[in-house]
Amino acid sequence: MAAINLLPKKFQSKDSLLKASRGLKTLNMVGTMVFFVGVLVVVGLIVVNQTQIKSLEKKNEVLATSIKKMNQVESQYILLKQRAESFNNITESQLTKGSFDNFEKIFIDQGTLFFEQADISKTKSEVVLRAADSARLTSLLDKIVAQNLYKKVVISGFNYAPGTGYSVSLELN
Amino acid sequence: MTSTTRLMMIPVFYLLVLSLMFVICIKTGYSKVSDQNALIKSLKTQNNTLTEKDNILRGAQSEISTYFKASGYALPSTNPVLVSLAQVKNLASEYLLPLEETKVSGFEAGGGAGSSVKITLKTTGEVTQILSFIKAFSTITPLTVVDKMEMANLQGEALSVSLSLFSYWQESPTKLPNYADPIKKISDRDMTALTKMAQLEVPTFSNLSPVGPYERTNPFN
Repeated sequence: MAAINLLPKKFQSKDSLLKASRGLKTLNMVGTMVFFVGVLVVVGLIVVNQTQIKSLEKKNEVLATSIKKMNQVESQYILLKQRAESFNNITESQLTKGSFDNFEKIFIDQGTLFFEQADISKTKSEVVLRAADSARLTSLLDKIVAQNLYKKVVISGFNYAPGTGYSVSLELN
Repeated sequence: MTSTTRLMMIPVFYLLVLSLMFVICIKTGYSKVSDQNALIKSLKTQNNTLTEKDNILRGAQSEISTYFKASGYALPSTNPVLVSLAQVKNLASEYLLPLEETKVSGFEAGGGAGSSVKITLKTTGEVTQILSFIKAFSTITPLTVVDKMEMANLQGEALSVSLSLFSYWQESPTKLPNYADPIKKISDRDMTALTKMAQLEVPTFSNLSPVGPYERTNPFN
């Protein structure tokens, strides 16, 4: 049966416009629902976050109070840490016990060798020795090579005087 | 206004208003949630730092009681020159070495290795005696290190020795860091240093007990 429309033709809407209007209404309805759901999600997220913030702030406050109560322990701990670091820095940069140990291993118990002079510093050691005969000097040099305690050994001076014997200057790095 | 225009105007207007509200809400909501997330992140970081600091400080109380006093002898908080001189004299007498000249000079403040005072001394003795004396400095407190040694032959086996020493101290921190600042943990290497400090020889101090005022007798009676 054909649809009856008694309105004059000029007041009648076009079909395409009616469809578009219906489409817009549906879109608006869906959009409104999405909007409300979105708003609910955002508000929910804000509430959850706010609760988490409050809980974290409370926890931090408790921890801060506990730490502030231990301020004496903290100052002692910081000082202890500073002292340990300083101790490490000082002992690393010092003229080590090893320098003297090396010196002792090579030059002590050398019998007829006599020290004329010895300067030991962080960077190098300079030693001037006197020996009655050349065999003693040879044995000392052999010992220095065999012990392998120094990176570089320089014979900076070598003298002989009939009265006193041999005098040798060594630079040990 | 025609019926067609009216038919389209209301849904279009509604759609525009809805879109506008959607944009405003998204913008406001996103900004608020972003701010909250940033705050949560910062609070969580702070919480981790504070928890770690709290645990470290709680756990450190035994370490502090064990090593604090010993480390204070090794690296005192004030210039230890008098104690160092006493220790040098004690060592010299222990190794039977006469101290001929002792000088104190050059204070060096600050730095990562604490402050230091320079002590120079001269002595004479046999080489083995002198080497033992020098090596003994690594066993005493306040922390004293040999910087330079010069030996010169005198006569026979006797050697004249000039020693340059540095005695160290570490000033106490004057201000505590903010409670929320992270704390530097004492590492294993630091722990080894503390153990070594605890093994060093402590100077002996004698306490003089106060003497009370005595009644003065009148010499004319």
